[in-house]
Amino acid sequence: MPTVPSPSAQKGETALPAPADGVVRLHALGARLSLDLGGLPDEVTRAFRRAWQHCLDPRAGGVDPADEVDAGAFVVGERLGERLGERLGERLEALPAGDDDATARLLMRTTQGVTKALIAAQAGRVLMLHAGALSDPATGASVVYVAPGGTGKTTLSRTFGDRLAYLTDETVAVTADGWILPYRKPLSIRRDPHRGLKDEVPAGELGLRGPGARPWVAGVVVIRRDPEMHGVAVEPMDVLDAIVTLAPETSSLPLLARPLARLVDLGESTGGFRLVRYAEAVDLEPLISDITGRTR
Amino acid sequence: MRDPVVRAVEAVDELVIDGEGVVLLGDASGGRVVRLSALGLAVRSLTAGGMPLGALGVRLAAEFGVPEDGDLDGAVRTVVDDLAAQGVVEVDPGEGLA
Repeated sequence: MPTVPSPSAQKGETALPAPADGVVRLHALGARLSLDLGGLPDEVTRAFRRAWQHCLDPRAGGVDPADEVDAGAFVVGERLGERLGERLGERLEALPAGDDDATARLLMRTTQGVTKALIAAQAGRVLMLHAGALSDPATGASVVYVAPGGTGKTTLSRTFGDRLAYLTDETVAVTADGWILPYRKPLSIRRDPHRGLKDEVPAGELGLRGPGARPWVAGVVVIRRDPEMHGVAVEPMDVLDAIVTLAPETSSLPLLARPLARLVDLGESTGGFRLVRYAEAVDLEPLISDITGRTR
Repeated sequence: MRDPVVRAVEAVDELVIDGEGVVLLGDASGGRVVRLSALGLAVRSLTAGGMPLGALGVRLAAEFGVPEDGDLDGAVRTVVDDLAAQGVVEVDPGEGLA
């Protein structure tokens, strides 16, 4: 029985060639990517399939497979380094001895590489924000929280992901008509005290909900975590200030048609961008509920 | 001595709302957004095809008035230097009127 569902078995889909042995086809961000696990030890291959389990469904990327963009292939073994990379023709029995974190590091680097490839494939097609997103499973109303890396997106996703559907903790792709293309990657959880290393954990293992109704952008907030804060401060953002703030958190913005108008339209269609300062993610519950309670 | 020529850098996109604006600079490798006041927008508009600094000062004075201290050249130079530092205009000292 194939690990990856066969696209040709799905009614209405375009038949795609079955992936080769050792290749897992990922579906995310409206694109498909072949994750080549060739040559890796079985244990490592299993870790990859487990981590990326929520991107295996052919519709996990939010579009019909016939409409997916091809993001090409990502060969994991090439991240093992030159010496081991040369041996990819043969299956390795194990990763190098003496490095307990080798698999975690390989998973982490792969997540970064996969994200980069997916973003490159969608450049100029959809608006992409460095953000996390959660969605009401019944209505698809989604809150998008924009922030630089390492400043709260994953924590927010985990905090509310038990009742709201986890869409991503990394990149939110928004179509011209406001739909979100999910990127249900494994959550990247920083491992203390090794602050440079993150564990890639599938959403299901963290108790996070899977998607329901097709997700759409109900609200966009720029989050700033401030441990000194008491409560939550929510400020409407001037649209030009918002564009200046959001632009560094976009990918390939210049390649979009009318890119600045796209940002303005996104703000206007969702009640305006807001800057949110908070100390603890749980304090954002009223705001998150307000946004995900909206109707389209 | 030649009068430096100021020229607006070609932008990917521009947006003006209520007299103020933003400009998106960059290329396929990445973009950068700069917010502009009405004065900054006027400088970019006037210098789209290149304009000597002195002529630019005259046009800006007609639209925004002369600085209180009367130093129009100094004020215009400061504005242009600031915009050049942000990458929204270029100043070419090699062109212009003799």
